Amino acid sequence: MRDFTKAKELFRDVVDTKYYFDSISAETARYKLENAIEERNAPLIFLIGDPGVGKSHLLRVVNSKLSKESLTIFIDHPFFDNKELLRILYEAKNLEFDENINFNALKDRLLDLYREDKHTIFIDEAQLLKMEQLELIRILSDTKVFQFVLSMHKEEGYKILKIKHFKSRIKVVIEYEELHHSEVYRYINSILLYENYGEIAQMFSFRDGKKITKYSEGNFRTVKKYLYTLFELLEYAKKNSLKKYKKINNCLLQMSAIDIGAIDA
Amino acid sequence: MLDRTFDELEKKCKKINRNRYLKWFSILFVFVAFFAAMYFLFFFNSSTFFKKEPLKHQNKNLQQKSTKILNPKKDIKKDIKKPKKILKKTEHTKRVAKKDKVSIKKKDDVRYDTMLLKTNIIVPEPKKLIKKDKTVTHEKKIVLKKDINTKKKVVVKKDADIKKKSVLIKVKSMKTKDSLLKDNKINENFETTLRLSNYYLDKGEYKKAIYWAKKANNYKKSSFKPWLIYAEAKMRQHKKLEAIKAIKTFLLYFNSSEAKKYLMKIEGK
Repeated sequence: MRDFTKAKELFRDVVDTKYYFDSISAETARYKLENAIEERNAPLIFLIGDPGVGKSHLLRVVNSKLSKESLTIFIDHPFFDNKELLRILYEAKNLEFDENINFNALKDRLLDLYREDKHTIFIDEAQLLKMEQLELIRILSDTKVFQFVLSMHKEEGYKILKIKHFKSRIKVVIEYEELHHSEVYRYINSILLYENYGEIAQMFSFRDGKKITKYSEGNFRTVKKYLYTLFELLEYAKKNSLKKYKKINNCLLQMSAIDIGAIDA
Repeated sequence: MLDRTFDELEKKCKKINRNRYLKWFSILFVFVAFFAAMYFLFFFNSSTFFKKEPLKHQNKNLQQKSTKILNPKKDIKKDIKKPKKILKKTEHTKRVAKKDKVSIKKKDDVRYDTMLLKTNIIVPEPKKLIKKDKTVTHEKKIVLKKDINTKKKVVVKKDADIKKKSVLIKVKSMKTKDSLLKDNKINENFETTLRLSNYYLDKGEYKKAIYWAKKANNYKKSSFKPWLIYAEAKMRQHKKLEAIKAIKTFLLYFNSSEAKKYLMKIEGK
């Protein structure tokens, strides 16, 4: 039975570590990231990619894996105050944070706390950080006690990397790329088959995967949004018994592309 | 939830497809029109493209010649005269014959005379000079020198007996042996066989003269001429008795005054 209402829920724009799709770009980025974290040669690791590619998802997956072995701190929103970062670091060690204490004294205390422990600090959407916060991160990384993994958008990321402070320092830059059309097709099939929607999975052909990739430009978030729209249209056609749209055809694919804004019409 | 309704999306989808087909069709049309224009420009006019003379002048010439070529038989002389004018213009042209022949010109001047050459103008054959037969005897050479203009030949024979009792055998035709043979092959009849036998008699080939005289006799048995040639041939071969015998046998069947006269002459009466 083709239950399009339930199938479309699989493609909501939610970061769920339950579903990790091992695309080539995701696997290479994950491999590089895990190696860089383990070797601890570079205190600064930059994960760069276009918005919606899957950087946040990857960070969460790696964080969930590493948290079992060592201390990991995941900051999913950028902090706008320098002391806020220090507070997070204190709370991670279950210590009280005193705002009245001198900044340098706080910093020195943190160094003593974290010197012996293996840890990694993940910061998502780091392109929103101000120069002051980035400078603090740089100072803390220079102590070689703290290791930071910064996830940011491609354009802003390369601008930050061109700054003198970061240009001269040892760092690892990992680029996260878009999906290939074969990977999109495999992703659709794997998700639907995993949730026992084999009949719906059979509706998609390799050519459909190519077209979906073309409209979504290989962006993971856009692919999910596109598929969500497509299932909504199929659901409508099924309710109104429109024979023309029993199967996935060019018109349906175009209609969902128009709705998400991939085609100007 | 969809941002737009299903119907709206469907309409927009159809519109997009329609525009796409129109776009491809127009591109295709432009390509086809372009290649068609190229074809007509270069390939259709390639013959006139490399010629020196513009098309207009060529058409004029064609028109002038085509009207007159329609009746070539009537105005042969006029048509023949025209190439003279054209010849004057070009330097490469040469005249093969003085009056009537049309010259074969080089490729540069083809444009002037191609039409003439291509047309069905009947150019009359030039007047052929009388060729001297190789087989003509010394006797005939002498005669020919004297009587070139005459069509008829007068044979004068050397033998004394024949001179005295000579009967002028008039050979009407001026044709050579080959032409006679050809005629005989084409139309073998009394006249042609008789002519042949006379020819060989004059030539001195008496066996052949007798052969053709016999053939002529088969066509017309009542005629005395083949018998006469037969008797003459025998007489020249110094076989008088056979000649007399032949004439006598003819007289047995036919009452001919000529035969009687000839017999009397042979016998010497």
